[in-house]
Formats: sequence, structure tokens, C-alpha cells
Amino acid sequence: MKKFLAIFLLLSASIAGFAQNARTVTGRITEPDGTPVISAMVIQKGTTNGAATDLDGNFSIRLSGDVVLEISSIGYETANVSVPSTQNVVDVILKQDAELLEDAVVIGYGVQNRRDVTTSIVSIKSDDLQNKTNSDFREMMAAKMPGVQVMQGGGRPTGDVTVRIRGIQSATAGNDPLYVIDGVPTESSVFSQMDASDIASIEVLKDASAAAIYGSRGSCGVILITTKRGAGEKPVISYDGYYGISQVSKKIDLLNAWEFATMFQEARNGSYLYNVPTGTISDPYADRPQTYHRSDNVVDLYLKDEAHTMTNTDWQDAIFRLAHTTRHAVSVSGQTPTVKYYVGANYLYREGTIINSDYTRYSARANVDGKKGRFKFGMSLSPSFSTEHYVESDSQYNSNGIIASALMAPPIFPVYNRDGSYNWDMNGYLRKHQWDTQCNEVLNPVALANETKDYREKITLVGNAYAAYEFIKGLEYKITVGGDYYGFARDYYRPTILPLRGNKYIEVVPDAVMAEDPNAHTTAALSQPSAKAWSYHYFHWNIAQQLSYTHKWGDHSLTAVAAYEAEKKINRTMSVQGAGTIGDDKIQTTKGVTLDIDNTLNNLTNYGFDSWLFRAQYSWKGRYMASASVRGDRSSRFGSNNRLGIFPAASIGWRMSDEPFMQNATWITDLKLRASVGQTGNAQIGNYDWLALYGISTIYMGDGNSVVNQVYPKQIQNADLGWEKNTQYNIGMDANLWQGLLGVTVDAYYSRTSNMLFNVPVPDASGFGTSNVNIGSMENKGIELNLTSRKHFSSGFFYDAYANWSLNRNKVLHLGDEDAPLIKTDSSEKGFYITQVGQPIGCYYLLVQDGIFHNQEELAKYPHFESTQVGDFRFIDVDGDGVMEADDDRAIVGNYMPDFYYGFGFTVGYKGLDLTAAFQGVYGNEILNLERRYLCNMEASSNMMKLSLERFPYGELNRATRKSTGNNGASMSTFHLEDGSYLRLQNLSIGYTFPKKWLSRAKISNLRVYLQGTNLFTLTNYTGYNPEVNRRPGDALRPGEDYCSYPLSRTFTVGVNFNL
Amino acid sequence: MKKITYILSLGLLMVSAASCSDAFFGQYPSNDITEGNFYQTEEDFNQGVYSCYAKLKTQSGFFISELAFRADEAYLESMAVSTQDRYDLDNFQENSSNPILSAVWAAWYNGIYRCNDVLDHMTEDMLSSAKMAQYRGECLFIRSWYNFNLYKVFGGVPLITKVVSPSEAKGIKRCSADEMLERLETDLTEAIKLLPQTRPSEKARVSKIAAQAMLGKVYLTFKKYPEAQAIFAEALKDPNYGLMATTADAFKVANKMNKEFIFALCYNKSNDFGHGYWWSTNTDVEADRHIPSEPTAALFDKEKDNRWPLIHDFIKISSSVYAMPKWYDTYDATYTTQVGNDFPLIRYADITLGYAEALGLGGNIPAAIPYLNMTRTRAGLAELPATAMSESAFRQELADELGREFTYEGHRWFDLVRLGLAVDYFKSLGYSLDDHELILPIPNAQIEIYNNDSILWQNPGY
Repeated sequence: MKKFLAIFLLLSASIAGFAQNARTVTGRITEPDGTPVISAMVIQKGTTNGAATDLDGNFSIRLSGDVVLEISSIGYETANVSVPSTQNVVDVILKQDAELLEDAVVIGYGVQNRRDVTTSIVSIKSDDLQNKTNSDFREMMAAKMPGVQVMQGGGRPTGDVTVRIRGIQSATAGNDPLYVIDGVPTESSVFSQMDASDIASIEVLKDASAAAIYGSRGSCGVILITTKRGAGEKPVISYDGYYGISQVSKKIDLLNAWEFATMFQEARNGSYLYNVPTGTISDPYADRPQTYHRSDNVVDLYLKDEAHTMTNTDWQDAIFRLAHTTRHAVSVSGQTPTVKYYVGANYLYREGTIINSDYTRYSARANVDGKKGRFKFGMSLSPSFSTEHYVESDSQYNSNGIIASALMAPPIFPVYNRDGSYNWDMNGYLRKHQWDTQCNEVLNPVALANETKDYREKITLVGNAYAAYEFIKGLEYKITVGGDYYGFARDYYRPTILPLRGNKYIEVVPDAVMAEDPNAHTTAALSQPSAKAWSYHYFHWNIAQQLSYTHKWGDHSLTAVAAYEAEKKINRTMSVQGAGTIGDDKIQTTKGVTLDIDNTLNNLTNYGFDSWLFRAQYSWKGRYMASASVRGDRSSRFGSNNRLGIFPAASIGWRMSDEPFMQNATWITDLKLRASVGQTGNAQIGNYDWLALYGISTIYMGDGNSVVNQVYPKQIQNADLGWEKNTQYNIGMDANLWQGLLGVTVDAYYSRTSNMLFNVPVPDASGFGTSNVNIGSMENKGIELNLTSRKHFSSGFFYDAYANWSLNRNKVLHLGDEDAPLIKTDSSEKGFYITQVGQPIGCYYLLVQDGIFHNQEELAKYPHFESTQVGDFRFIDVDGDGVMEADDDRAIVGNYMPDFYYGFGFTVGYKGLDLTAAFQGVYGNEILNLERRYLCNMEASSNMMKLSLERFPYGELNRATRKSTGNNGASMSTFHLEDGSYLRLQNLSIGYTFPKKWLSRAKISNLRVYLQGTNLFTLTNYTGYNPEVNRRPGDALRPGEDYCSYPLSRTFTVGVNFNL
Repeated sequence: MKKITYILSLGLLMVSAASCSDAFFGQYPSNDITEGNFYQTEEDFNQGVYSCYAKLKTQSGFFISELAFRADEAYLESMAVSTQDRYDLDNFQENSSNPILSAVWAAWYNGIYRCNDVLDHMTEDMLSSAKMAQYRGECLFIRSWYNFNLYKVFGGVPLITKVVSPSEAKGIKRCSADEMLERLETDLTEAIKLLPQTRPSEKARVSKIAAQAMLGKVYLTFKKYPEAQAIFAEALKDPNYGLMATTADAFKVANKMNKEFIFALCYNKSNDFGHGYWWSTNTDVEADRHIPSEPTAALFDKEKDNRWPLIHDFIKISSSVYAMPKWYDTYDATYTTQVGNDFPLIRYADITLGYAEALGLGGNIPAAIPYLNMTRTRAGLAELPATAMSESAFRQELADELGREFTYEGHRWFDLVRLGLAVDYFKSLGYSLDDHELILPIPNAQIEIYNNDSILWQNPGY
């Protein structure tokens, strides 16, 4: 209260002073060349008294006495001007701030002014990365940059991110962009360990001309990370932290116990009536020939339970929870005349929304830069350590998958028995109690999550050191030595108390015993515990020497760089696996276990690169710009006949707005046209793909108990294996209209990948089914649009809005000698993918389901499978030959690649208050929802989705029967294919920045508090957890499959940032 | 001037550094053997030969299960998600994309490739003549095994006799029946010369009699009865092999690799090279278990034939596991799926019954009867009189005896096809089986890869 009073008095005093000697001061704020600076803030220092400049740069302000005016505008250096009481006109020239990251763009082996960039590069600055609740900072790039698609495969607390730039460039080599931290190429595994608070900017080199400077690794785009360096005269201590709670953003709508019982009985009756057409559903179970014709009395009891008093377990609720997240980040930065420093430390603890999963990360960074005369030097060091308790979220029900088990477990069984022990009825009670009703066994997912130990630890150490010397002005030599170490260790233990899956591992209690003892329950056999220890670590080093030259004369400006670099990566893996003793969980490591010889090993692999490059950039008055570069790479990954690749690029730019004829169009603040062409390569293949290799494993040859080694050929030599080359053309336009009121960037590109590394199917008669050859080509073409609008009003209101839209079309052009299509199966091996000339890569290739057969007449009229019955799926006779055949009647029915994707968002603020919203969307991608083959197969062999109630004759889905006929829901068709389009409110936050004057007494220079919601809602028709799911992000030929994945979470956070 | 010197020397520094040596790129994996350091010693070749044997096991399920479903020994009543492919084969609804067929095609050709890789690398200066003979004989034998099976399942197939590149492979067309016979005859005849007379201590390895037996079966398949008679007669002279007292004795786990097992897949549960129970069920209610199938059961005289209990009297292992006695081994209580039965691919009974077939279908039925009786009498059945019987009666007797002797050993389908009984028989059981289905469709994916009907064409009818 006292404080407020003091502030009030202070304000009154100033107003009083104002009243005494007030005068109006006017002036004009311009750039050095006289261009007016619009919307610059002119503030009497230490007060809230201020004004903004108009369209001509003019302002007027009421002042009294000797004051200092602080004049600021984004992109300019802030000026402080003393105005003595005698002065009434103040004209100020603001200098553009070249140092400000807002204008400088990191382009790889150098920095370029944003104005002069002639290639397609997008960036994000640190402000956009602040305070977001994601573990992996790449999630924050989602929908912020056109042409950059960031996909969240799942909601693991560590993050689960895939980045694709301008579509899919390669069929069988990787499609991940190259990541470069502070100039040193790095593995993406190090990335998830970085904390966003240490990042100053992220640049994405999208077109080949920009990426060609990274040559053989540039074809999927390059992401450059620049970390924060010291700045500011006074040391600044920053803190930011938040606390959040998360829950799954979606649950799948499943049958409750009574609905399950209905479907369970109906499916078995359905099977009975199919096999015994003369039967009726009132026939006693025991008289039916097959046990799967029979329901079980514990299930049938539910059909009489009208009061709904019996057990009804929501297994999803049982494995999901409200999860907590905490984060702290502290940093100190500053500079002296000779040294700049930035030191930061971060902590993140994030619980998963599945029980017993969490992630903890500690990381730190020290960046130091020094200068003595012409000599510059510096180093960065960034260690991190993280631990994760992992749960088996993405596996199937038969390999301990927690989500799959929870979705499939019958709701009629409880999680726990009355005595508090885990219930195991879901592991086959319905196959043993009366008879084998053929209900799939699953393990209790709560027990799986809680009792399995899967602990993972990562250590990273990323660092580099550089020294530079400027011989003459503009000519600098620089050597950088960088390295990154990554260590991963995993301890896995599946205890003896978790039984194996299958009814043979449980004993059920006979009904008679149960009647006596209500606490009696199914018991499960102890299993043989399995223990695994696995570690992987690598060291990667890079040495780069660089000679750069910058020269300006008259209206000309030239920058040139030449560099040579070499790098090597050494990977080591170690694995120890074995089985322990039944009944003994005392030691939960591999000590004392019976080793699994084939999986107990260590391995060492490595690869090397060396490269040289040249680049020159020329500009005349900033109006005509040209750039050319060439890089040569050699890599150990390629065959000895094809080891060297040369990657040239060129680009030009024209700042039209600087032309004399444009000077009258004052509404055009800036207009630049760009064109570029470049060639890049893809080296994301295995380290030894070109070598002839023999594998070794043990076999038994019938000699007592002795085991011998067999050596078998496993790879044919291919000395011609070479680079996959990508040639890309890009044209673009950057426009700034009405002084930032509207910013427009448009890019159009065409890229063609040739010499595509293709694991083409070859005749099995050659010994192998596939062979890796440089054959085939593919194109991507697209349009990207980015709009921005920002304005600060003198009233203190401001807004900043953006919208982006990206379209990419992929087409396979050539697939080797015969252009034979590549057909691949999905995880169930029932559905297919096809990669075919003239079509996008990895299309779904499925039977086309078209309703059901409602009656015998319909069945008689249309081609169908031999086993198809009334109530089964009707499929389209695609080839029109009047015969339904699984092989001939499949069609290309969609693709995981979206038609387009987009993002938009805004920040609005008034004085200290700000509100930010960010949306992201994808349109026209299809997902193969494999989980439906269990959850919507009408077999009631497990619990099912509510959707299954729409079965024939009640709805338009197939009839209920335990044994599907006619390729019903248990086989793959378009019934399993769903539209993955969505629009998501990715982020909504409201913050308040306290006025500085309130804080100055507490020596706080900045204080902001905020409330934030992440992933608040998603509009989609997709019935699974996440419409972006992709089971195999690394496999371009088989994308977009949902076969259980960690659901995304919805998070609410409250946080604070302050600077001292 | 000084500055320029600096710059020049710096440039030189960069250029000199810019030449990583070839060693920098000569990166090799630690856990793989590469072309350059293999096939140097006798033991290297031995390990290569092991790999040829190892490949036999990867498709054991085809012989143990799938062929029984294809034949009348087992059937699936209705399809389920997991058994669709088997169901299709079982019910003669096979199509060319059936993964079971593409898997055997790929595995057998990979096996041929392994044999060829060893054969191509082997030169006399690298091995002793004894080892050279043995390894070459084994590779020829195993390659013939794959070729013979490819022929029985798919008809004529491309014959690969050395390591070929993928593009070379595309030019090798399906062979005719004569070419296949010639290949098998040549390779097996050489193998018979090269292979040792006695079985090595590694009992999975073959000896001479295995190659003789296979060549005999090849002749039977190609209806070359005189040649078959000669080679079986030769094989019958081998004193090291013979019939055990009963079929049950031959299959007892205690009698592993006895004199009746000529060529088998060897398993061992005590060194982690065991397998799961074959043909076990989870119920002992006969109506529910369908094993043995009704047509198989009909072959047996259930009172007299001691081979009937071997496939019928299931042994309870636990409340939900019942093991077929033929494939019984004591239960491993750790629940790991480890039992240790060996799976015979050629038994001595193949030779006795093969000789009977060669004689009988070669026109001398009375001479054939004693050989047909050998397995009958040890099973407890009455001898058939060595009198003239019609060829069709003999054919039926032989088929039935083969069906009883080799139940669940993967023989039945090939026997019925070879003896020309399959189509009528399966029709009598109510199936619709057409002549063209006696061989199965070439995997469609392969047809598409060749994309050339004059090199790799689909079998007619598919």
C-alpha cells in the first residue's frame, strides 16, 4: 500500500511539474538517408510521458524543464537525446541496428543482412521461443514458418518431433534436415536436449541455393541454431520458470461394460449362425460346435444388469493421469570491452500423462567471446543430462503395449482385485472360465506401466572453440574446432511378477470356489524376468578453416568465403540382455542372468566427410544482389567409384522498391524479388551400404550341446553407390507495405531429386529381395505464402499477426529400369502402400469399402468375395471385371502428405498486457488407423470403439461375428483410412509485464507473468488420438500409420520471467 | 608484403589440409565381416557352409505346418486375421500375393545364393581335398534341396548356378522340367561322389545316402522309375542307416538323429536352440482340436496301427497345452518355448517307400510289396500279400501308407500330387481343386519385378 502511495505521489509531482513549465517540443525522426521513421516511440526518460511519430516521422510532445528523450523503434538503435529547457525542436537521426538479430540472418559460414538475402530462408527469434511448454524446442517451430512442417508424432514427455522441409525429397535415404548449432553440424539426437532459453535464433535454409552451402547434406533443408552470446553493458540476470499441469487432450470413445457384453454375445451368436445356418440364438452354448460360438456367463450377466451396478472399468482413465511440469531457466549475460559472456542453466521436469512416465533434464551453456586487437577467439560449451522413465506406449498388445492393452482390455474386469493386487482376468479368463470364447488376451496395462522398469539416461556435451585473425580490413581467417558427445544408456527390467500374455499363464477360480470366497481371484504365473542394458554413445568432431573477405567500395559490396572442413563420427553401442530367475526380482539388472548371446555385444561404426567450399556475394547499392557458391564433399558412406559430389548454387535479387520509378509508390516500404537455383545432396544412408558384408550368428549343427558360428552373406558390394542429387529452383518476393502494416513473402519452387538412392526390389533369384542403387527420380513443387502485420499505436496498443500457408506436391518420376511400382505392407501386413510413377510417394493402396450388403439381393447383384455374407462390407470392383479379388481390386486411395498446411496467430497488447494465440492446421492428409482392426472389427475379440455399435442391422457397419468373413474390419481397406485434417489451437497465453517504474526499486528491470494453455483444442474428424501420428517417420514408403501412440497432452501453465 | 606472405602460406595450409587420405574414407564396421577378410581359411568355408544349413531352418514352418494345411492333415474352419494366408492355401483359394509363398520363394533363393557364394569362392589351393569334397558336396546337396522344393511348389523356376547380379538375374528365365531334372541329376550325382559315407559328428550335416535318397525322390517326381530303382537300391546298401523298431522310436527325443533320420533340422532345448511345441493344442476335446483331421484319421486302423496314438493321444502338458506324442518332449517349466525335437526332411522310410514306388510304378508291383510292407509291419499292420494288384490299387495303398508313415512331416501334399491322386481326392472331400492348383502361383511381386512374361511368367490359371 505504501508503495502505491509513493507511486501516486510521484505521478502527482510530475503532473504538477508539467503544469508549471510546460512547453511543446516538436521534431522529426529519420533514417540517415532522410527516410522518416514511422511509429517510433519518443518517451521522456523515467516517465510515462511519450508520443509516437506520424507517417512523416514527425512528433510533438509536452515537456517541462531539462529532460532526456529516449527514442526507439524496432530495428533501430535506441537514441537518448538531452533536451535542455531552452530547446523546442528536436530532429533525430536513428541508425539502423545491424547488430540486432532482427536484421541479421545466419546463412551458414557467415551472416547476411536480411535485406540482402536472395535465397529462401525463414527464421524464428528467441522471443518466439520463450515460455513455451514443449520439451523439444522444435515443436515451437510448428506452423510458424511456411514450408517447414513440424509434426508431433506423440505426446511422450521428451517430445516426439519430425521436421520436413518442402515435402519428401528421398524415398529411402532419410528426409531429416541437417541441424547445425553455431556452425557445427550436429545430430538431431542432441537437439531434444537443448533448452529453448539458450537459443537466440533459428534459421531454416529452405531452397537448394541456400542449402547448397551444406552440399551433400542439404537436400532436406538445413536448420541453423544460433545460441545466445553476451550483450549489453551491464550484466543481466534473467530468470524464467513455469509450473504446468497436463492431461491427455483426447480419449477414444470405447464401449462400456454393458455395451461390450452386448457386442460380445452378438459376435459369438453371429459366428454360430454363420457356421450353423439352421441354429437359433436361443440354442444353448454347450450345444454349439465351436467354443467361439459361445459367450460366457460372466459376460451374459451384464445383459441382465439393468441397474448397471457391475464393474465397469475405463481402462484409459486407469492409465492416464493429471501430470505436472516444472521448469526453471537462469542466465547471466554481459560484456566488457574485450569479453562477452553468456552463462545459462536450465531445469525441466515433465510428467507424462501416462502413469509412471516422466522426463527430467538439466542443461547448461557457457558462451564466451574475446577480442584483442585483430585477434578474436571464443568458445561454447553446453552439457546436458536427462533421465526418462519410459513406458511402452506405442507397442501392440502382444508386446507389452500399454495403450493397446488399455484400449483392448474388456471393461468388465477391474484394475485391482479386492485385496489390492493386480487383476489378471483380461489375460484369458474368457478363454478358460467356461470355454474358449476366443477373446484376445491382454496384460493389465496399469501393471505394465507401473511394474516394468525402463529407465533412460542421456548425456550430451556440445562444444566448439574458434580463433580468428583479421589480416587486413575485411580479410579474416578463422578456424573452428567443434565436437559433440552423446551418451545414451537404458536399463530395462521386466519383473517376474508380470506374467506373460496368454491364458496358459493364468489359473481361473472355479465358480463354486468363487461362490464361497468372494475374494478369490485369478492368479497369474510368475514369468521369467528379462533384463536388458543398452548403451549408445558417439563422438563427432569437426574442424573447419575459413577465409572470408568483405569489401565495400563505392556502391559495391562484396563478400567472399572459402573453407575447408573435415569431420568424423564414431558410434559405439553395447548391449547386454538376458533372462533371470522365475520368482526372483531382488536384483533388477543383468547381473546373474542367463545371457541372450545374440543380443549381448558391442559394436563400433563410423563415418568421415571432408569438404571444401567457395561462396561470393555481391551487391550494388543493396539494389542488385547476386550470390554464387560451390561445395565439394567426399564421404566414406559412398562407393569408392562415386565418392566425390560437387554442389553448385547461384541466386540473384532485385530490390525493386529502390528503383527511381518506384519512388512515388510510398506505400511500398520495401519490395524485393529473388530467384535461385542450386544443387544439394543426400547422405542420410547407412555407413556401410556400399560394402559387401557378411553377418555372423550362432547355429546348432546337431553336435551335442555345442553351438557354432555361421557366416552368411548379407549385403552385395556396390562400389558405384553415389550421391542422391536434388536440383531446386526458387523464385520469391518479399514485400513490406505501409511500414510494416503488411508484410508479404511468397515463394514458389520446383525441385527434382535424381540419382535417387533406391532400395529397389530385385529378383529374389539374385539372393536378395532388394538392392540399393542410384536409380529413379522424384519431384516436389510448391508455393509458400507468409503474411505479417504489425503496428504499435501511440496509445500503447499494439498487435503483431501472422499467417502462413504451404502447399507441396510430390510426384515420383522414375523408379528404375522398368518403373515397376514398389508395393509395401503396413504393420499388420494386410494393408498396402504403393509408390508408383506419376503418383506421390507412399500412397495407400487398399480395397475400397463402399457400405455393406444389406440383403441377399444386393449381394447377388454386385461382385463380392467368396466368403462375403449379408451384413459384410461391400467393396468396389475397382478393375470392373465383375470379380472381387484382393490383389486386383485395390486402388490408390490417399496419402499421408497433406494437400496444404498452415498456421496463423497474433499477439495483441495494451501497455503491459499481452494476449497471444497460435493456430496450426493441416488439410487433406490421410491416416491409416490400424487400431481399428481390433477396435472396430465387430469380432468383439477385445473391447471396441463406440462406433462399433453402428453394426448391421443397426447401422451401416458390418455385422458382428467373432470370425470375420468377406474382408470385414479385421482386414485392411479404406474403412481403416481416415481424414487427418485438423485445426489446432496450439497455444493461447495471456501475460502481463509490470511497468518498469514499479520495479526499479526492487532492481528488477523486467517482470512478466503469464498464464498459458497449450493444445487447447483440435478440430478434426480423426477418431484416433492424434491426426499427425506416423508410426515410421523414417520410412517415406510407408508413412502415416496409427498403431497406438502416446496421446498428445493439453497443458495449462503459469509462469514468470524477470530480469535483474 | 609480409601480409601477402602470410596469406599465401595460409592458403597453402588450407590446401595441404584439404587432402584427407583414402584411409579416412576406408571405414569398416566392427561387427560385420567384409568381403576382403572372409573366405581365407578352411574354417571360413566351413562357416559359409553352416550358413547354407542355417537357411533351411528359416522356412521350417512351411514344412511343419503350411504343407499340412495345404494337404488334408489339418484345416482351418474359418479365417481369422492372423491366419488368412494359411486359410487361403488350405482352401485352395491361394493367390499370387500370398506372403507364405513369397517368403519361401525369397528364402530358398537366398539359400541358393549362399550355396553359390561358397561354391564360387572355393578353389583347390585354399582347402584340403577332403574338406573341399565335403563342402562342395554339401553345397550342391543343399542347393538341390532348394531347387527341388521350388520345383515342387512352383514348377520350373530360374536356375541360378553362380552368384549373379540383380540385372543378370533378370535375364535368367524359368527352366523347363527337363532342365530342372538335368540340373538336379548333375548336382546330386556329383554330391553323391563327394559326400562322406558316414555321418559326421555334426549330425545336421549330410552324408552320401542323403543325396542318394533325394536323387531317388527327384526321379520319382519326374517318373524316371528305372533310374529311381537303381539309386534307391544303392542307398539301401548303406549299412549305417536303417529303420528303427517303430516309428515312435524314430521320433523319441531320446533317440535324436538315429539311423532312420537321414537329413533333419536339428534342435536342442538345452543350448537355447529349441523350438515351441509343434502341433500342440490348447484343448483335449477332440471335436475342438481337429487334429488329426477326419481325413487323416480315416487312413488309420485305430486298433492295430501303432502310429495312430502317435498323432492322436495328446499328452497334457498344462491345463491349456496338449502335445502331440510324435513331437513330444518334456515340458520346460520356465515357460520359454523350448523343446528339442528334430524335424526330419529325409528319413530311411523315404528310401524304403521310395523304392516301393519306383518298383511298383515301374511295373513290378510284386517286387514292390515287401518294401511297402516294411513300415506297415513295424506299425503292427498285416503284411500285404506280394501278389499282383492293379496299379491303381497299388497307387492307393502306397499313398495311404505314405500318409500314415509321414503324418505331419510335410510330405502328404507332395505325395498326393506326385501320385496323381490329389485332384480327385480333394474333390471327394468337398474342396474345389483344379489341375492348375497342383503347383502354386509364382509370387506376384516377382512377376512385377521381372515385368517380362518371356522370362518369368505366371503359372497358367493364376
